[in-house]
Amino acid sequence: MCRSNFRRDRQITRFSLLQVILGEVRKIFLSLFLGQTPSLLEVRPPLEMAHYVASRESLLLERDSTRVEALFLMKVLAPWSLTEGFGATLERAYSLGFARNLSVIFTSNSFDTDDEIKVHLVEALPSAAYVVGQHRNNYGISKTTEICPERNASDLFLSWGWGGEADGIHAFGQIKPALKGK
Amino acid sequence: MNGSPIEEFYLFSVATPESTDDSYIFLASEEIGSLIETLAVRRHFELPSRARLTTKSSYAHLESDENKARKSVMTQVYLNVQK
Repeated sequence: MCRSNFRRDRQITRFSLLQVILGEVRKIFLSLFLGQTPSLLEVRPPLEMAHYVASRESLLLERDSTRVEALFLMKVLAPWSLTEGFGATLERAYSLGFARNLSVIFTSNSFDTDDEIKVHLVEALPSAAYVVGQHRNNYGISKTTEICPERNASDLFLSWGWGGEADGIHAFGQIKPALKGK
Repeated sequence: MNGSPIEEFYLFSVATPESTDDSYIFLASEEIGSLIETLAVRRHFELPSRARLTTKSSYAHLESDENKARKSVMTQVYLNVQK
């Protein structure tokens, strides 16, 4: 217990860099520049989940509104790892090496399906700054431009796909190496 | 006929999605498709019915002892490096 606390107190990771589209070498240099050891968390092993039973039950009445029906469907679809299992997922994230007491969490696209990163981010907020850096949120489909949860949720949104400063978007310039033509 | 509501239930019993990935797969599944269809029909025709949903899952990731032992060594190395 004491040893564990000692290790935690000495933890030097203050910047969580997760799924950063920079290339691994640049990411390692960035970590060293920030005075911390590079993270290997993109290739973490699948830890066994504790045995659990998840049960949900809900009832939809005759005259329930569309809103109630939508909540009914959301209850079906909500992943266990982010709802009832939030604590278990967070513990698993910490046991895999995710840092506590962070100052900044920076990612390009981990807000989508990486549940360990998501719970670790939620737990760190609001004392940590949530920074997203990406080309833009098009994902290859322009219709999603108006739906940009990472832009709405982040404290700072850095883009190398948008030009000019608008609506909280900070045009950051190209940080990925340019593709070389043959 | 006597004005009392018809007590009819649509029962849905599905598995609880474990992760966000599972939720995406579940969203594209036939089970959810038929659930949404049923709710839409119920709403469109104003059917006096109730729907009850139960989800239940039990995750007990059982592995072979050999696999578990090999992974535990590799996992331990990883965790030590990471921390």
